[in-house]
Amino acid sequence: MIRRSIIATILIVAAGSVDAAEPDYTRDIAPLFRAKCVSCHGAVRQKSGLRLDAGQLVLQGNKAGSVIVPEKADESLLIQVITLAPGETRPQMPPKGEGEPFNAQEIALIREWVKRGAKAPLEPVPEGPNSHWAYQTPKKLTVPGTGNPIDAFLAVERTKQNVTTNPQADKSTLLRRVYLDLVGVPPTPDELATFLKDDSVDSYEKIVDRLLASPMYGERWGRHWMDVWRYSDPFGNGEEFRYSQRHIWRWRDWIVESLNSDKGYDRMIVEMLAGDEVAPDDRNTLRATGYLARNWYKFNRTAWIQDTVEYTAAGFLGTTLRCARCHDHKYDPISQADYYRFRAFFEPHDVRIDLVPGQPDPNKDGIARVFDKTPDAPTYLYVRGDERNPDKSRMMTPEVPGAFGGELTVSAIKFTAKDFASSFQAAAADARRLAKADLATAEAAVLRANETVIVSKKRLAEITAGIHPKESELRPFLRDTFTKRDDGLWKVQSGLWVWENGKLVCKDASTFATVSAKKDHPAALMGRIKYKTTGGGTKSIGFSYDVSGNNFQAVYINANPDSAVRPFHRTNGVDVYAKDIVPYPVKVNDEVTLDFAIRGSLLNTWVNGKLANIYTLPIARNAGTFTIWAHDATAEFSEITMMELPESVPLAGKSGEVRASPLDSPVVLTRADAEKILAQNEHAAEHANARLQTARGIVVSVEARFNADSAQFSQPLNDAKAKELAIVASRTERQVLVLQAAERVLTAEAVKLTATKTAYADALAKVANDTPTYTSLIKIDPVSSTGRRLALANWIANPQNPLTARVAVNHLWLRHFGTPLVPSVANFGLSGKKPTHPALLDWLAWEFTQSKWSMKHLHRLIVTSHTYRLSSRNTDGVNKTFDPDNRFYWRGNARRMDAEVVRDSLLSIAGQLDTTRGGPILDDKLGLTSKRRSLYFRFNAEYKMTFLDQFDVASPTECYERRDSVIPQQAMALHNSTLSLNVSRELARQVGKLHDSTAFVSAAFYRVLGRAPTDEERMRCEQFLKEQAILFAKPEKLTPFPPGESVTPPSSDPMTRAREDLIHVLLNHNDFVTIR
Amino acid sequence: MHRRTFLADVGLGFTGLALSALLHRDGIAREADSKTPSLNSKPHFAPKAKRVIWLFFMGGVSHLESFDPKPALDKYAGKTIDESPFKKAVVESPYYRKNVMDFAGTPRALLNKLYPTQIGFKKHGKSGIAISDWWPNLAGHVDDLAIVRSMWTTDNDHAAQLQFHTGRHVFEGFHPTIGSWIHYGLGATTDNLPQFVVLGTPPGDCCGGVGAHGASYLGPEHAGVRLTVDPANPLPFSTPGNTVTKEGREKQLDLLRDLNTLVGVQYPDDPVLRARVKSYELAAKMQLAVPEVMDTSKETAETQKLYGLDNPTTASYGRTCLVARRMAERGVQFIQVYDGGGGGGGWDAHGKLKDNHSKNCARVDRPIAGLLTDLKRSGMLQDTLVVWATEFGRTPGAENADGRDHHPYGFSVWMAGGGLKGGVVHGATDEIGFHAVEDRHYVTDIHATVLKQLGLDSHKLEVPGHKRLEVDFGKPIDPIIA
Repeated sequence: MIRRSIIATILIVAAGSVDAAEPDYTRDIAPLFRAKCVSCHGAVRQKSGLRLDAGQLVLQGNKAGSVIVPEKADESLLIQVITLAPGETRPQMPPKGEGEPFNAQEIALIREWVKRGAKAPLEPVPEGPNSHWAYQTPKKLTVPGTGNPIDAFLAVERTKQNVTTNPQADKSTLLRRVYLDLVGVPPTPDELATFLKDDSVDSYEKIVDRLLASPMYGERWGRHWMDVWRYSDPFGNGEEFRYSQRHIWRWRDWIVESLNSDKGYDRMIVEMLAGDEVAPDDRNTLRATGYLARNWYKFNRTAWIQDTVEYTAAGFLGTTLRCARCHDHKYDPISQADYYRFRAFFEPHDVRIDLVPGQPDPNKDGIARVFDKTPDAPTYLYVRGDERNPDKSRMMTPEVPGAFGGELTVSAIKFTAKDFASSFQAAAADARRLAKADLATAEAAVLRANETVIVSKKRLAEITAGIHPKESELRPFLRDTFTKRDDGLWKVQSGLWVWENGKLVCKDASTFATVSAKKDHPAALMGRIKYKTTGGGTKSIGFSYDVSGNNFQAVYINANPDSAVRPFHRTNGVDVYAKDIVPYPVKVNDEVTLDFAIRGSLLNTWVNGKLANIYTLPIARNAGTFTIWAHDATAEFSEITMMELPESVPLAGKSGEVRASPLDSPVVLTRADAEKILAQNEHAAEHANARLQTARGIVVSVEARFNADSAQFSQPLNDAKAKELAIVASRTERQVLVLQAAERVLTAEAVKLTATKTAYADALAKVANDTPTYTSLIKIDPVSSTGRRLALANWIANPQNPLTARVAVNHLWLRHFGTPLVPSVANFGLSGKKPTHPALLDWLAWEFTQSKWSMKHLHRLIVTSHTYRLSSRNTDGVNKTFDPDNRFYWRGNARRMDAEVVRDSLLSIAGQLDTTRGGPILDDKLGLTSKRRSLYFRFNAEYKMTFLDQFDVASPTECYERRDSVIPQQAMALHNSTLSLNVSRELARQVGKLHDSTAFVSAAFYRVLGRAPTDEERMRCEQFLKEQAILFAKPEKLTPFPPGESVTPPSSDPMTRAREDLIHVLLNHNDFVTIR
Repeated sequence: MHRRTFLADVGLGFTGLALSALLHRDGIAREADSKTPSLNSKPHFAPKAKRVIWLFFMGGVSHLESFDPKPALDKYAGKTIDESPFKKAVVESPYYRKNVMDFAGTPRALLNKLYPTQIGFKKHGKSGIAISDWWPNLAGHVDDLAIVRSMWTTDNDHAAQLQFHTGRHVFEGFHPTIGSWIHYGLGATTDNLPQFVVLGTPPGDCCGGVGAHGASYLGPEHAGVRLTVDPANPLPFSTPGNTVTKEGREKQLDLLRDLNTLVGVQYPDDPVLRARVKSYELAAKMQLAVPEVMDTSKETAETQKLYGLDNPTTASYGRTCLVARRMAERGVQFIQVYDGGGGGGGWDAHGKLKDNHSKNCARVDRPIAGLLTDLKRSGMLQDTLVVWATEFGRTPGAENADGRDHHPYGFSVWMAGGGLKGGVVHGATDEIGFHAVEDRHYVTDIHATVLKQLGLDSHKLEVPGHKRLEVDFGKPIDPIIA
């Protein structure tokens, strides 16, 4: 959105003929000086001590004397410097790069004016930046009277202007006003009744305290500050986010929580700009830096930092920096260099996603936070703002514009282990948990392997004794044709799976819809899956084996043009794919027979009887279960068969080999096979045992590293003890290496056996080394920060900063009253508007800083003022004529609800609002069905909830003040949306228990409009109920609208249906969306 | 109790009387008194046109390759302006850099190397006006067009899109747009469609965004209503679904109006309440009328073909033009059709101008010609003013070897119908199309002309407390008025 502020009227002058005979200073000369001279010789800058921005100053000249000699143009210095001197290519003034020279016509005009005596009027001298109101720190002012200071300050002006105030709003109006203002939903009829009955003097104050203590306050005002701080969920190109960051909602939660806990505004600024520098170990605080992470832009770092600079200045300081990117600010004392000095605060920082416990995938969850990545990154002034043209002779250091005053000290921050004590505890807990889980898995694997050995021995003995293996042993250990759901065999892990028509059908193309077998599979395995892919995006169908926790081996086929058989494995959330892939065409709705056989590290895969892939697994096998899955695909599975792979069945070992699928040939188990199987299983048991030893070693090692780390974090640090523990930790790590080397000896192929044995011996030899070098359980990153952002934050969040408190107070005032005290809310500079009530503004700003920057204190001051409680009726003839815009706050300002308040109130009056707080964003498309508060739905430049969008929702790019439009689309949203239809029907059911129409109408008014109906209103509504019931008594005569979206059906009882319609009308009543 | 009696009862007290007068003035009570649509405000003088179809092309259409042939450009192609005989006329012109305010502060560099025109021109019609070969269908209508070749504006960047509609540079913020002035100045001529409708994608946020059809201080009720050319979903929430009946809804609206009126007695002079009451009446009617007007399937195959609906290249813009005509028929007063919205704009040919403009013209030429043919044969062109405009032209000098930069110093627009002369060219740029030199017109002169044809005097359009500058009013371009 382009800023609404209007720069002082610029006249568009069509150049035409000029009357050279009579140059008039004001009409002809002053505009030329303004256009060409004043940016250097004016209020902001006075180069050579000369000012040309008022008639008398032009004549006065500078210390060196007058630049104009009346009647003597040739002797006038001013004329000389703007005229081309012999031998020069351009005149001296304006200097090159500072604008175009005067043209012949203009010079003639000025000469003529000088010749005729250089008459110039006495003009008001434009205010200079040094005396600009907004650049002076607010001082403590004496409150001119008793009672609420806001009323006292306004009373002075009202008396002066002879403006009298309205009476107080009636109690129901006031209650609804303050509820909608502070928590964003109206009071319930019970709350209203209690308030109306409460005659105590502080009945209103008690309500205010309760509302400010409600967690819904943080949600209501959080949304306001999300406007100012430019909250935006990430977007770009589908899942490829180009703007903002994943999980930025955590910053939104931080905003809500900070407001609810009444965190000082100064602290909020520090946490948003430099949370990583003040609390590097605190995830809750790191969330605040989402303020900076939000500006991230994938394709252009300069555009990103530009936004950070511009909006930090606008949001916190009410200062426009944008223009100083290319040239010195035309109005404010901000040079182009100042802009780049401001940029330097942000130069080193970057954005990353930190993991949160329990979620190793940063795409699924995490914290978007900033950190100083490149502490030494230089900042140069870009000539004319062009990043392709940095002026490398001018390296910029972080500084704030001098005119704003204050002290700024940047000191670098070096983080130590102690700064991360709590992260360490979490990391240690994670490491322990992981090690213990691995140990349990390894123990179970040993038991299983031993059992397998016993079975194999038994089978060998039977074959030796001439007993052929029982058919059951060759029978598949898992076979299903999906005639019906068999919970003994399968467990649905994720996705939408149904058993229908003899098929297992994955109905929904989601991320990894998975069904897993309930029992583990044998290590040597062959099987067949028959299926067809029916749709989806990537259309990948696959199976996993060796599935244990988060780790597995897998194969999949996708049914897109690049289809192929693709083996991969996942270890701790990281997927590693096979490299050499041979394409294999599989199309949507093809019947596919997928056969596979796995022995040791060899995997063969056949598609429709043809060997399609030979793959050597790059990592060791693991015991586990078998799963089939559809990734971003819908599919139908018609058969699955799996059995142990007999040793007698050879597999293809290298590409080019051709083998038929063993599923297509009969299997006979010989004694040789049985012996091989036994030997293999004995080997597997041995390996499992070795793994168990490793797992035990890791548990010991984690413990030792924990002890060593603890010593690092303990205070005071005991050097000798710490070193001793470090040596122990180090040794345990090397012991683990030995155990792992031992495992590799066991699993090595023959050709690599010698090498692995050597490696084992080497590892063993190193165990004895006494070194304190070990792997800490926590990685400190970054190890330091420049402290630049913290310095800036401290400078902004300083009571002496003339702008910070004023800007914030103005935002608060605007949102309480509907009109700001400084009309240009994001521009307090010289081109901005002056405050309408400067003393009041300054007193509020001063009070804000003195109350530890407590917003709740200000809210309380404002809403308990007499002024806030005035009736909004516009009845007083004198005031109306004299002050129609309510500049002196003689009445309340009726306002329309913000978009979010409209939706939340609809749900709230029906008792349906889901008050669950915080958490990941909700899909904006669910806005009419989900009952959560509106601030929790996806919101960015591309996606906004359609319903909210009708009601002037904030622009996520820039919104310091919302607009209040009235357009037919809003009427349609309230009249036709399923939301308002559902609410009216639900509400009619709730209120409908009253069978008397008069009581119903009253109750409906209380519920929807928060007040009683007048007699006329009640009569009219009762008449409506009667007429409407008659109408609905013969529904067959009525004409329905065309079918639309699914909605709660209307009642079949004509009177109830009439009541639903009445409620629906009240939802559309002007005074439902109006805050009176 | 009948609603009319009810309203009369309410009007007994003083405030009630004041209110009913107010409602009457603003047309809210109009329907209660009479079903006849009428103008709420009397025009300032006899109108020649009843409605406007405002076709706006974003990014900056090259005047040099459309409506302003410059043989000198080809003659001096490859030479710099300094080497050409026009140096003086360009850089020493009193207009050069004087009335241009660059968004970035520093003026855009002069693109010195003259770039030849990328397409030929031919003379057409009785008037023999030359039009570029990228507009073959429109060329057949040349005798209906009043081409103004001497436009200038002050923004050298795409917020000139906003400026063309408000008459003010974006640095001066948002102001009422031409459509909103017309909406404000004239009352309703339709009871079931908005009087000011917007089709197509508006300018990007960089360039004025929805402000280019906004109403600023005139109030949101005078802003353009954006509609999508899709009968199934012309605008969000356009239908309540079949659990609601038309008869029941009508009674609800009666009740709603009465209840709001009662509140109006308590809060007189509440402009928002008035606007909301109006918005509901319009919404109720819009939800029936808008899908109907969007449905082009009822048009004959011949008409559909006329607008190019039979061709994938022209179908999209053709459907928009056809819907514009259907709206015009149904009394919509100002139909603002954006083309190339978003970003700088679809016609912003800094490079590959030939490719950009030839493709864009192929998309819109036939639909525009179809619209003119259709309006003319039905007699509607007489009182329908069609405006073709763009934010600025393009530089005579080359940018990036094969493009042209923004050019606010001189460019072309044309108008047709609505009581204007046809087959005329008004104003001229210099020999290379740099400066508008003859009969120069700022954008508000187009506004004043449009307003005059509608019977409105732009000088009389003013709102207390919002002083307008002289330049805001513009001057009607009388020589092109028939």
